[in-house]
Amino acid sequence: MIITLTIAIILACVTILLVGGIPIEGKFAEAVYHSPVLITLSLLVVLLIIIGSIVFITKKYSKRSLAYNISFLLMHYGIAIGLIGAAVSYFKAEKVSFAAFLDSSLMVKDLPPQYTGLNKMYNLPFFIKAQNFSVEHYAPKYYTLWGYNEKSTQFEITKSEKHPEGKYYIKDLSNKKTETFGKFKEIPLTRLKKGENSWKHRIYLDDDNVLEANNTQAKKFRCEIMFAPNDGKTVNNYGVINNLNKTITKELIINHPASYDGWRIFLMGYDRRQEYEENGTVRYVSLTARRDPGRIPVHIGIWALIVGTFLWAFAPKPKKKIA
Amino acid sequence: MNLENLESIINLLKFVALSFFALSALSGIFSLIAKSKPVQKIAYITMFMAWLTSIAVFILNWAYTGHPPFGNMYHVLMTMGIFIPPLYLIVAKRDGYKFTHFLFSLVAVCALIGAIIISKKSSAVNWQQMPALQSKWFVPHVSSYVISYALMAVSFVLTIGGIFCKMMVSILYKEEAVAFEKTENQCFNASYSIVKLSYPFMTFGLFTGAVWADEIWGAYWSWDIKEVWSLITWSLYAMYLHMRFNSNFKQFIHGVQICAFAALICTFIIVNIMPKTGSRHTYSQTSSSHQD
Repeated sequence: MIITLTIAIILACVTILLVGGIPIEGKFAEAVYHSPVLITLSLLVVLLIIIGSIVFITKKYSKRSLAYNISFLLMHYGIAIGLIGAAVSYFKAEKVSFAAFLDSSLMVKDLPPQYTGLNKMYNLPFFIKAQNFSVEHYAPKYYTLWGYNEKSTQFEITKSEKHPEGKYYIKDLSNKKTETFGKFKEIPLTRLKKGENSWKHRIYLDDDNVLEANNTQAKKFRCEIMFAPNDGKTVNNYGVINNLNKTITKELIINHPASYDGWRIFLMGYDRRQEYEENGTVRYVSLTARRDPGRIPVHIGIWALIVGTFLWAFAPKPKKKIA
Repeated sequence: MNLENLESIINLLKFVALSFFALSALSGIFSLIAKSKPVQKIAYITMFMAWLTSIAVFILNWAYTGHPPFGNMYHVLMTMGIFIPPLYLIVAKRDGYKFTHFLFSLVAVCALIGAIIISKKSSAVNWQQMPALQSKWFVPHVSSYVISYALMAVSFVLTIGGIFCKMMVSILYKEEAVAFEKTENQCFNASYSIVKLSYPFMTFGLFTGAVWADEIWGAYWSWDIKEVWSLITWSLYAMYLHMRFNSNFKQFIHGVQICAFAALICTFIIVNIMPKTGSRHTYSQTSSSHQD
């Protein structure tokens, strides 16, 4: 009975996932996955796990090995705890994504709609300021704006083995030969870079042709985030810092969020328009702030499930007694 | 070493690894048919040689890109060659399914052919690791999926083999069908054992992906198309594993496994190549596009 119910519920979950998983444009998937149907199904999974595990452990499978029983409980309760945590997150978590400007010396707490894309002001419970941003890029691939031999060709800037002092040569990717670019086969580094770690978007060649970068890829980027409490003293109403000692500065890198006062701040991206400008500077970074009371149960659930499945698959089988 | 020389060596070694795996698969099949121990030894030795070559390709790819080479489909397919021989050892030693040797080699052959075709695109080889992928979860997440997918592929072929034997049993006379009946049971049992071995790796891959997403974006689940299809695949395999506990479902069990493998293929390939899905996993395509 319980197995039949389990299979029926998994089948229902797969069906609803399939309905939302059809790759079509629009907000169709979002509507499916945030519908009461999936939430009800999740609730049913939790209920079934609680009832089913009691039945399995106490009756039918009590004769199994201890490792099996532990793995069974870890796997199934892991799913239940994770789903409960996800439900707490769904109903209680707060999240806001916003642009933090780097050229301002003021700290902000109240985020206007133009910073967040929301239709109202969002009030953070603390003051925040982004500063000291830096980005390093991979050497980009370049295209000629108008081609030689009547076709545009893709080129790659590669460090020259022959010129260790810093000259770069252009590698023609279309026929995989290097140094085939006429008299422009070697370009001094100063003509390619606009800063220590940034590459120019456009390079004007001596014969009036232009190389244009395609899909500039950031290697790494980071910034600093300054936090201050909203105690009415550390920062005044205009965002001016009165007491620097009470502020905390943390480094923010993608994959390494900064925590403050129960919130976690994520570096999501940065102003990329400057990459297309000759002397452009990064004006803002994109941040996300999230407070999620369901995060810990979700993590407990995930690790219980992972440990449970490994234990189930790799625990030694009990030796059969010889009659 | 010059990068171009390195690329030439990688290109050569890819074909060497492919040849060793192909030889291993062929000698594996021959040793099964002829029941020849010397040929079986050749199959094992060539698999070992293929494994060493795959490790060399992996190290050179790492040196070439400057990052752990797991970033796109080319890298993932190339890495399968490293995992397949140790996985076969586990299946053969622990569960006693030595006859699956040629299937493991065949899966490696298919993966390497795929990698060689994809590597014709220079962007697949010249991969740049974007900031979002510079995480401690990157290598464990991708490698657990590689292990899981390799095992699921072997298990799928075994199930197809089992179904074929079942059909032969129903067609042939009783005396002639004995051998097929035995093979059918072996295939289905080995298939289940391999799914059981693979499932923890799939679980690890799926849910460490969620933990990783929580570190990058502050949301462990965002209903991205790739995430959804991964969950569909995982759920279908969960269904397959649960069905074994109830005899009423035994007639559907192989159908569910085939559907689960189809979902796996959809997750691995089709979702990446379908346009306008808006997936955050665009970096798993052959040519990486920028995403912070």
